[in-house]
Amino acid sequence: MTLWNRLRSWFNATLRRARMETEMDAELRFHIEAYAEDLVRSGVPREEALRRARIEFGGVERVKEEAREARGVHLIDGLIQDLRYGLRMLRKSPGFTVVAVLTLALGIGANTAIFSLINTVMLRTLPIRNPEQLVVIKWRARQSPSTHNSYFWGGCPEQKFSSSSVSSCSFSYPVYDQFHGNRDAFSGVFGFIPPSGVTEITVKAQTSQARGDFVSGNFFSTLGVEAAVGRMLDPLDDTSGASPVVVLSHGYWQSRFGSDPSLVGKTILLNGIPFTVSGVAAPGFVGLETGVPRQFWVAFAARYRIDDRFPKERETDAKSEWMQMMGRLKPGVTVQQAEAALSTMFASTVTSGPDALFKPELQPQIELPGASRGLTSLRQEFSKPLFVLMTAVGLILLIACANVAGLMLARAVAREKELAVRFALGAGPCRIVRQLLTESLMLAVAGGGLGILFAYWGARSLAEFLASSGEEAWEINVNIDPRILAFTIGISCLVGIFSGLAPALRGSGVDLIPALKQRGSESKRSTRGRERRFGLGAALVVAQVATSILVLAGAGLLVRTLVNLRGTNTGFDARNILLFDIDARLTGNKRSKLGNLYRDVQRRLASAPGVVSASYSSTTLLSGSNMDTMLRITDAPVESAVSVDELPVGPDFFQTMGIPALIGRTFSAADYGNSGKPQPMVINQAFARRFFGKQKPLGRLLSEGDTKTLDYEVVGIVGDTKYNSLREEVAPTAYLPMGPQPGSFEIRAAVDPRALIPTVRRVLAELDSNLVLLNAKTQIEQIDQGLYQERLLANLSSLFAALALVLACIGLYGLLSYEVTRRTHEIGVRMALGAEQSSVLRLVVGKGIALTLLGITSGIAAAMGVTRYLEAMLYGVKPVDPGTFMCVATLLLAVAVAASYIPARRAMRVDPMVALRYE
Amino acid sequence: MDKQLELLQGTLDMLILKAVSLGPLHGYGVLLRIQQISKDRLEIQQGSLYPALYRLEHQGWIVSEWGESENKRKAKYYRLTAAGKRKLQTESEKWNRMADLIAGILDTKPEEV
Repeated sequence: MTLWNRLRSWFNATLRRARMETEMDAELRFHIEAYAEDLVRSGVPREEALRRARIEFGGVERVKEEAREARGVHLIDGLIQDLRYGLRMLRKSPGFTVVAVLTLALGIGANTAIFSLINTVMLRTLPIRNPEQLVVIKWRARQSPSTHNSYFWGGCPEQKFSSSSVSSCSFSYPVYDQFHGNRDAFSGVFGFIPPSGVTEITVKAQTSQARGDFVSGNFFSTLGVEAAVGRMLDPLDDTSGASPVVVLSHGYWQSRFGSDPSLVGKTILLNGIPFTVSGVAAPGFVGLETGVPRQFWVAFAARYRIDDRFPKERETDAKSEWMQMMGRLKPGVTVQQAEAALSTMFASTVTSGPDALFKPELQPQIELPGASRGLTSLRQEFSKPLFVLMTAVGLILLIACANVAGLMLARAVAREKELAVRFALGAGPCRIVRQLLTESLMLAVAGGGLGILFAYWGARSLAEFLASSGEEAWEINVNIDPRILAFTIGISCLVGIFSGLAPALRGSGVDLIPALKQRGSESKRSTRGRERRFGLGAALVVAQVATSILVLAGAGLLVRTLVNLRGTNTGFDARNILLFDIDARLTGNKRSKLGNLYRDVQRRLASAPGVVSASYSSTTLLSGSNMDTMLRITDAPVESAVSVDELPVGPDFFQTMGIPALIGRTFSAADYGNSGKPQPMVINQAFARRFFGKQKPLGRLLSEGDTKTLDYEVVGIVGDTKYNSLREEVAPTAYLPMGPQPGSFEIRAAVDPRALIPTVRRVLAELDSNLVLLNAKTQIEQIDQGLYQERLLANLSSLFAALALVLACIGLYGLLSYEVTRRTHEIGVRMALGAEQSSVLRLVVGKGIALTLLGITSGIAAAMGVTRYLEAMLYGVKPVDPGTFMCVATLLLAVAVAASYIPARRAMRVDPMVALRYE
Repeated sequence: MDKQLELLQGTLDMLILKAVSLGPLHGYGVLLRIQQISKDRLEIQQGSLYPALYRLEHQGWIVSEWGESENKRKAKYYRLTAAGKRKLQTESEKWNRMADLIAGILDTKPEEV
């Protein structure tokens, strides 16, 4: 019963507080008036009676307070009081509030954005059943196998990078077959390859491009991806006579087909060939590669209907590597067990028989890296930069917290008088601490809330930047998931508590009498411990400056890297070159006619107006990929074959690209369409040095890898050029006349390369109206795309460096500003005693510079130890580059002087008369 | 000030319960009655009355309701609940026992030790 009454009383008190208050008011008033009336009855005049009654009763407010406490609502009441009071105090100093909230918001926002991105790119697992059981199947050996050809797809995870071994995710079809049926280690193995070009999906005469994979029949069942509508592929679809079916992704079904449930069973055209839609995959599954979503999947056996790159004959070729595989480990089988068992099987297959790929001493073995997060090209490319950014952003958060702590500290000291009054009125220290903590928590929550907004906006901009300016068209959906939100809120609260704690604890230890006296904070402190007390604020500023130096130094190094890369000599003239591809499939051109087609286009383009020169090649320069082959001098032993870069090119290639022809000749018209051996070969200087040293290379004969035939004859030497990437050293490169294979065009424009696009279209249309122009860009744009990661790092780190600079500036300004306010009295005395204005200036600015210099030295010391982690990403500049460090230090010093200037001006303008009276 | 309140808090509660047990009273009335039944030897500090009243109500020993005072003014009246009556009983017994015990200790003659 007591409990019930207690609950009821508490319930009443909480919910009907207003009424309780009025009632309590009325009751107390009645008491005083009753007592007054008694006094009146005993002869005291009314006024006097009321007065005495009130005095005897004591402090009404205090009674009310105690009464409320007795009711047991003290906590909530107190909290609401704290909130209201805190809000009022924050409103009274808008500058402080705005700066503190913004600072926190920026720090928290940047952190959350980067963290969300990292989560999306690096940490999310595939939306499949038990992703931890999924592995990629790779082989590793001491040297490359002797193959007829091998294809390397992107995304093969490279964990143990080693220069003494080679690894790859591509296998021959017979090996795939062997693994596919393996039930010892796996509960399922599937293969997958992408189509060789762009796939066009046509529905109701509307065509658009889509990305998909050819997969084995057990793809979906092994992964555990269910159908949202219809059915997924099964092994029956993966047989040679099966009718062609396609599975669409959920997102594609929604966007392209409006989630039409009747789509299942209908026919759509893939590259003009009719396929039946068998089903739509469950939402969320977009393939195995993060950032490169797939829209459709077709059974492997049906691939030849729309793609002739890997015809049926390849399936029996044990020396052609092109299949990729993944498997789901059987429950209870560990990765080591599986690797051991499969390595044995694999080694015996590939080292024996006439089609042996490896010699036994090359020790081929199987590796099974985890694939729970899918294939990694996005992750591998961005893991380092993202972690660098995360470090930078973490440092910024630290600076922001230090900033806010410093601001709050200064503010708390300024409020000493107010706190002293509250103490005198009877507040307990607990209460005071609680109130100050509430204030700082409110700031933290406001900062966190705004920070979430910044984070959302920042993450989306970042994702767009990542996706749009790369080579591939990545799709990165950055979601701010609940964990990150909780993390952010947790950080806000921690920051709130810690930055509020020091001032709060200090505030509760305030000595009453000196604080209440007119001269407030000045008197006691100036006699002892002034330097000590100021130490905390100053220490925070020094820490901020040091951290800013770190971020600035890193940014400086990364920016210089980008500048260096952009300024690297590519070996060819990249200006005014337009690159493009053509899609010849719809013209019905068979591969054999391709060579003629390309030459025709090249001839016509060469004579078009505005075109200086035109050519084509198998891949364009600095596209991020290259071809290579094994070559040796014909008479030399087979073991001496060396891997060199190779580039098949069309007529006028060197002229178009601006590569200087040094010795001998380049290719002429007679070299094309002629398949007699030895073929003419043009080499670069690096090749000549590598193979022939000081001897003359012209006329020398070379052979492919292990063949006995005379394959090539050197007819000319051209200048070195970068081929695959800007960072790599120029490799020995062999140029050949390009045969009938797809490639890309390069044309040199007289003025603006992009202006030539209509001309190109016209020329193509004249030849065949079905020729489509694709992927047009300038050479410079392509190079820039290759510098994508460096640009990202340079841009973002500069942004963060600017942020750090601003924050450090604010911190310094805040501290000095407070300092001037606190010592206004002292400054007034000095000036009254005859100090020059300039000495006051020196006092303030001097302090600012001293703190900054201290911060800069410690920052540079730290930077020297830390920047070497950036070494792998730098180019042309060492991690401890004196020039960069000097620049950064000078910049910070200049900013510090500027930040000190305004408080210094204020100090100078102090009127001694006013200051002497200032409290 | 704090110490005094602590000591008196338990006794004050008892006194209030006793006062109210003799009939429903408003706050001021409780004050007067305690003064009256102690024959003017005990005076309660006015400020500590109401917190005590609210606490006792919160604990369920007394209940309140608004009524009319002698001079037709609205006042809040408190009366004892059944639980409160039992509490008063227990507290009185405890107090008496304690008083006996202390008296016994204080009466100890040197030879009884």
